[in-house]
Amino acid sequence: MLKIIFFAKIKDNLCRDFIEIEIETPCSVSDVRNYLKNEFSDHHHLFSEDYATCAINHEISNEKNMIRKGDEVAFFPPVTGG
Amino acid sequence: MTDKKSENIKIVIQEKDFSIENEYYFLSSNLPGAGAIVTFVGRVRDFSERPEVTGLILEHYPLMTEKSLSGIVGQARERWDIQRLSLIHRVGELSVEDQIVYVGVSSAHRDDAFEACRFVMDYLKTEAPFWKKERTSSGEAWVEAREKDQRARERWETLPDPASDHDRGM
Repeated sequence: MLKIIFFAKIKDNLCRDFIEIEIETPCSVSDVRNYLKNEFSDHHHLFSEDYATCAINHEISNEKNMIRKGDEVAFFPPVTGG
Repeated sequence: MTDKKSENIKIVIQEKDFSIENEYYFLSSNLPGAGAIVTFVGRVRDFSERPEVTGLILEHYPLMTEKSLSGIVGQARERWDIQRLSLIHRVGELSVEDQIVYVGVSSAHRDDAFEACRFVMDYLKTEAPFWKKERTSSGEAWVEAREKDQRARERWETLPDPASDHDRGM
């Protein structure tokens, strides 16, 4: 079981701020991204590589980074602060 | 909300407003070697892609925000001669004309202060996990990221690192 947290437009459009998924760990960011695209097929565009950033333990990750049990994983839209 | 303060570096994420006067005091007091202070304030304006913006909701990712801002400030300190730096970003509900973000830098020379201030803003806008949702008379909408912010940040990646300059003029 892996908990994924969402922010901003992704959170709003899915009407939830996290999901717990059944996926074998360790797995790659790309694996989780594909899982989420399938799980939320009506909103798959929210998880495209050029839209959603994945952070692992508060660090921006790339597609090949590995996620391990207990990691804090988040998906969020392009940032717009400042 | 969160307050990370070493003697000369201040990074704060908070709901409440900030005082430019207090920050100026932090940047300048008992610091006779600081010949230059540059400050930037970002405010909520009343237009964007949508007209008639009445306010903003600023969301962030706590813990990651602090880590991200500390990382950006750390890079700026490696690159320029910074004596003190104050970075404040507000979150929560804001109205038009409210202050959103503050960056202040004191340094011996103006070039370091100007550039470090701009560098922090350019990186903050493209890296730090904050998101703006605009309120208008016709409803609310998330602000989309802009290409020009990305270009402003990329500009620094192609510039030579001033820390490698031997001749630092005024």
